[in-house]
Amino acid sequence: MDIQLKRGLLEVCVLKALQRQDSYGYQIIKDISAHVKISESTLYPILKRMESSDFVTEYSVEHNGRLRKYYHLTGKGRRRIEDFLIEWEEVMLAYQFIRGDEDE
Amino acid sequence: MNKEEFLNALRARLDYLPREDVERALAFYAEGIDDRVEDGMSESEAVAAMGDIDAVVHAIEAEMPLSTIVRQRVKSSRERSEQSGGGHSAWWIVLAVLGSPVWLTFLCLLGGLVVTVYAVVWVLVVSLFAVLLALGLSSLFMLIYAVSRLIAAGLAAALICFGIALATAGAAAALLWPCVLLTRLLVKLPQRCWRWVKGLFIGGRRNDL
Repeated sequence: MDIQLKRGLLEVCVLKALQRQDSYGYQIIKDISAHVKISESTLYPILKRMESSDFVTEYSVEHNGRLRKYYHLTGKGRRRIEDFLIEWEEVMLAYQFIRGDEDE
Repeated sequence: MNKEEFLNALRARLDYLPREDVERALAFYAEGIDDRVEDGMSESEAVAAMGDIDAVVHAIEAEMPLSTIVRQRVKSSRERSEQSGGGHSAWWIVLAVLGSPVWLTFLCLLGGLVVTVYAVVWVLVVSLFAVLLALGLSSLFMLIYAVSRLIAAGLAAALICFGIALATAGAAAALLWPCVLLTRLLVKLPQRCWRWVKGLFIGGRRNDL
């Protein structure tokens, strides 16, 4: 897959993984891995970018005697997901056209 | 490799970066390993799941601004040469000053060349759009002229004018898409070049994010 495209898709996947509730690195990876392949070294830069773009905020919670970092989706992050879905309606229409012609 | 070894190796590879960024990255990977161990993995499996250490280092470097990377690398190499007696860096400075008439001219030339090529391509785009505009306008005026010919010289003359108007409009429409594509490409080009230059510094690899 095109690198830029995959980068953009994974960013929205990460935001989506935070939509229902705040989450932490390993849980985000587990949630996304069922659909797209992702590793820690891919997730780290994405989370950093998402934080500097104000799509997520982070806070630490004590867990089993160590600190675990949780990520929270902001209003701006939620809007990013909505924008993505609207943008991709158009892409999906094109996809259906490209796919459909063969069957007919 | 166990957790301690992995984190130490990572710290050694990143030691030229600002401390805060290094600690942040190390904490992230330590948490990933701990969470996997808690989930039932062995420590070495958890470390292996973090991926190849080169990929981990590259992912961290790729998010740093280029200026930070260069500044920190220069700083750490200076510190290293000072520790080893400082002989090398003095020689480098002497060489850089003596060689400046050559490399400075060359650098200016190269910069000028890049800017010129970029400007020339933009001029090409501007002229393409000018042609587009001219075609569109002549089509419009031909259409108006066709109406006046219809009144003054009859249907046959008006039809010829109408045909020419259609042909010029068609040519304009055909040119529109190439113009738009070329403009888009030119807008993206400097950004891609910049990423490439950055890749030269941090050893860019194409298959990761």
